[in-house]
Amino acid sequence: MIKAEGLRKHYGDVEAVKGISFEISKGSVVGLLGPNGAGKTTTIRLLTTFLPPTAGTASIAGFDIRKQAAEVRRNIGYLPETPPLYPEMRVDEYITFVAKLKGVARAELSAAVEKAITRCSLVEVAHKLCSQLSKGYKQRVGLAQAIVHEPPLIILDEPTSGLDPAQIIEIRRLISELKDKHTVVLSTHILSEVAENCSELIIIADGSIALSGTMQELTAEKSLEQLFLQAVFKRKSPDSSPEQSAQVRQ
Amino acid sequence: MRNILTIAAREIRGSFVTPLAYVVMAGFLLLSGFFFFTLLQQFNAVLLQAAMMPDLHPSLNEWVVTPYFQTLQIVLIFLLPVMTMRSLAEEKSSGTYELLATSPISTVELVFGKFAGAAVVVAIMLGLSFVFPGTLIAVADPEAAPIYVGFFGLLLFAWAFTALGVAVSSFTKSQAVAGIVGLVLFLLFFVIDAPAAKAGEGVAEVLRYLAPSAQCEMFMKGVISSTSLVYFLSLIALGLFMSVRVLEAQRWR
Repeated sequence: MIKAEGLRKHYGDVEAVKGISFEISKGSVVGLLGPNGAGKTTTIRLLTTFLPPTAGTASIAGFDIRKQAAEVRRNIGYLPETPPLYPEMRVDEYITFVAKLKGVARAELSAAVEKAITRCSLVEVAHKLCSQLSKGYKQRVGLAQAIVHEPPLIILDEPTSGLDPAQIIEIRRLISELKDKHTVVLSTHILSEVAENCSELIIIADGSIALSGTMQELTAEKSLEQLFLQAVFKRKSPDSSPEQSAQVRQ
Repeated sequence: MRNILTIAAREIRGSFVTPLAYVVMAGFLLLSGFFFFTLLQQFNAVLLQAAMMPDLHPSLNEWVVTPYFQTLQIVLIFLLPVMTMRSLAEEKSSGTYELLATSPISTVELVFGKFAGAAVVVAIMLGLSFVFPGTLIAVADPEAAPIYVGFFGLLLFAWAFTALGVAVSSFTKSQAVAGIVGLVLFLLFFVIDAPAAKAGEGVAEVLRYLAPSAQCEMFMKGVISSTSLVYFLSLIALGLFMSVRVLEAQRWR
């Protein structure tokens, strides 16, 4: 479903993603794990064609992100870190708007919108303005816009950040329902999130892949926490101070 | 085409469910009503004077309609930056731009949709202000053609600045910056022919051609001049072209 080859992204002099390659097969749920600032969001923005890579490329569902951006975009549903809502639109209006943008055929429009709203348990707030919703509901609306056109690949950037435990459980339930039909890539820095949802794991640290593999293989000997810390520390220079290490551990 | 309509329709609805468009329209109508009233008052005074001089035949077009349209140009220069400052800047600051930029629509479609939406809102605003010269046609006997054509010229003028406003808004994330930069640039552009009096012949001619108010003059005489039509359409094209290029360049930074 995704095949990345030497993806690289510079912002001016800063190299945010340092040539990463990976492959994700159809039907898997992949956790993209890493400390804050590791390059997760940049990687996602490259895959979703929001930003062009400085070097390297990737293909999504067989389409090249550099040359076939429109096809790539049709095949992904994307929830950015902040859900991209228009505060003055009603939830159903907004989902309809996104469905049109994503190219859902006119005849299927209302059915697709209804389905997305039902799947994300938004029926009772469908007529409310996006600005009136709680954070948990906003996130669910964000999820609904990502799935309304039934894309084969769904990319979620920190879908549970800033939510309360009940809302987190609700979002997790939604994600676990998605995995029957879609390939899901989920970025997070919360370990338990990966443990609960994902079949595969990619740990990004400092712009490179520190570790990747299936959850079963990787967690056979070590706990997820150990793996994460090990992966993150391996990237650090040997003389990194204890304070820095402590910051990473938090 | 469907994508352009989708974007434009959202833009129009968005404008009318938030207060900004209403505030700007109310302000525009208040100002245009005030100026129209003042011009009519002046015209009455002129009529009284003319009564004593049988050779003078002051016309409603010359004393009311033309200055009314000229004043509206200035009002538009101040209000259009407020109308267009949100356009792309808000999408970028609120994060919705990320949705648009990862949807299967092109930058051209996005910019055209944004402009089309704003152009409709501006047309509605101007259309409402037509009630004043419209009253003249209904109750007095001015020459009607210069009113209709002049109004069409004013609409082109407003659309040109709308396109330029969208372009200014594409540069930044901040609505305030877009608004202020837009206002300064619009004002400068509006008086671009001011140095023409002292400039050399060739330069003066270019400056006079570039001045948007001068391009409205033929319309206000009731003539649809192809030069002016091309002038305003080129400005619209320039604004849209710049917006597209700026948005695409920003991806590569």
